[in-house]
Amino acid sequence: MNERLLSVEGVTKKFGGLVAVNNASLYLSKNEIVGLIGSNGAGKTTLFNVIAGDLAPTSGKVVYLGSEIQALPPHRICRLGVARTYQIVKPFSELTVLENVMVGAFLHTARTGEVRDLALEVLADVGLIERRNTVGKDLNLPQLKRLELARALATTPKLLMLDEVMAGLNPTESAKVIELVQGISSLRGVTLLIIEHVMKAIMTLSDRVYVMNQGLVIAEGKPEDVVQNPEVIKSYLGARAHA
Amino acid sequence: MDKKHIAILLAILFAVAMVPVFDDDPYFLQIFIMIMLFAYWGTSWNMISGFAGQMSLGHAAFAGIGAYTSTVLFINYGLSPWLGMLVGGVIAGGFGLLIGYPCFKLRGTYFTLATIAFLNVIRILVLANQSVLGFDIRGAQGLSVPWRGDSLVNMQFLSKTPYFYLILVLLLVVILISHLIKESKMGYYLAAIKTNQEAANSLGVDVTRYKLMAQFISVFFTAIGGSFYAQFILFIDPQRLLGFDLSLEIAIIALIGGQGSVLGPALGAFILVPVAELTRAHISGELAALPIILYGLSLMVIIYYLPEGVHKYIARWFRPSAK
Repeated sequence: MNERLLSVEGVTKKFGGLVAVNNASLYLSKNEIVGLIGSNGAGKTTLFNVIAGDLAPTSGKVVYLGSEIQALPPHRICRLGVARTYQIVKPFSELTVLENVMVGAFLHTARTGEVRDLALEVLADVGLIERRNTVGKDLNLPQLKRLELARALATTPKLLMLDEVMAGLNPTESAKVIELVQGISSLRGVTLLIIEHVMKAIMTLSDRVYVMNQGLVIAEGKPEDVVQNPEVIKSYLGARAHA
Repeated sequence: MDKKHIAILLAILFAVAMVPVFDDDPYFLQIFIMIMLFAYWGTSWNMISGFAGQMSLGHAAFAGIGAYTSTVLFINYGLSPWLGMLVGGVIAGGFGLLIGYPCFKLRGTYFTLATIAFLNVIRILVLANQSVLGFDIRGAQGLSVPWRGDSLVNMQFLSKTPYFYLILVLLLVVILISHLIKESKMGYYLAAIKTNQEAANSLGVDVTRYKLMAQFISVFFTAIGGSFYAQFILFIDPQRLLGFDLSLEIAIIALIGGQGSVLGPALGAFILVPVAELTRAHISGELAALPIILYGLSLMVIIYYLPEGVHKYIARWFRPSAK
């Protein structure tokens, strides 16, 4: 396998008495697409927040390209090449789509012209180019999800973490986003960590999958193997199978 | 900005610059100087409160620090106010960072509350003390700037015309700096911080650092305006210059004109200051309270019909049709 990009080593995050993430460990190699699944409240987003620096872990280490990053603030981690999207979209609602993406693109240069070109390029890639002059608050949900993606991509990340970019989208829209994500991975060589409830997306996209339940990582493997794992079926997929 | 915009602005600028040539009536010039001073303060306030969305209601404190610093240095050491105003700006900037640093890590109204508290502390400190750090400041009596003759070095003039051009230049400088900030990386980052700090942070924006930069620039220029005020009025007192009223006036002017835009705060001053000055000057006696009532009424009308500031509606007329 390729070089190790990120490893999470025994991370625990407690909120008071609640253990949201319990001694979780995982790793990503360069150019991998890794899925992170689990029922609601399993701790997936909390783990994302720890990796991105939004939350400091109670214990454990996050190692990115050989150095520990768990004590760094989000903007420093972003500068190292880790970008994320938010499950609950956070657009800059008064700014246009282009300006939203330019905020991300300013990370590596202060030249406004260059930044605008980079942002336009990203917008063309994610299919938002026609909406470039629309302000954030006038976008619909699928467009907002794409905007989240575009902004994160504009920081030219090495590792991109997608938190439910397909939630709330219909199957046609999801299929388009799956294509888009595949394109990002193959064309830009970005490593991806994806939280997703849409199983079709996870099965098609992921090289490997981690399964979380009640803060614990309970399984790891190829997507087709993981869905056969009895513990996974019991904790997560079982509930849907009976539904 | 396109060519049409620039042409309109240059025309307005030329018209304003011609005012003293055609009418050098001191009272008339006085009103224009006050308009431009408030336009200048509003534009400075806008850098932290408009661009970065960190509402300050204590900006008079920085104007006061600037005024007192340059005046005290002028009285005690004969230091030219041109230099004194820079010293005042830097000192105000230091205080600005000091209040900003603990508040900017938090969200919500903490910063606004801290600015009000800071203003009150400074005012009470000046009111209650005859001297600060060994410098005579005369407490509640206020401090007169000694007249040392009509001279450029002392920034003291018999005619109001030099003051007129001085504040015009200062106003153009802050508008230009605002424009440069708005169009640069910093402007985009501040706009992002204003709407969603968390998202900005995740895109690599060092939120605290950019807020502090905006705060420093904003209070630095506000203090310089205070020094100008001291040289123009030749008298400074804590009730007016370190008052909550002045803080509020600066904020209201910028809000009415259009906070967050480059020209909005200046526009607000050109609308509101004449209303305040003219009603105050022409209505007196039994009707002395009327100016304040009229001022309040005009505020209500503007806020009701143009809640996002006048600037936005004027900008709409000039919007280029293409694109």
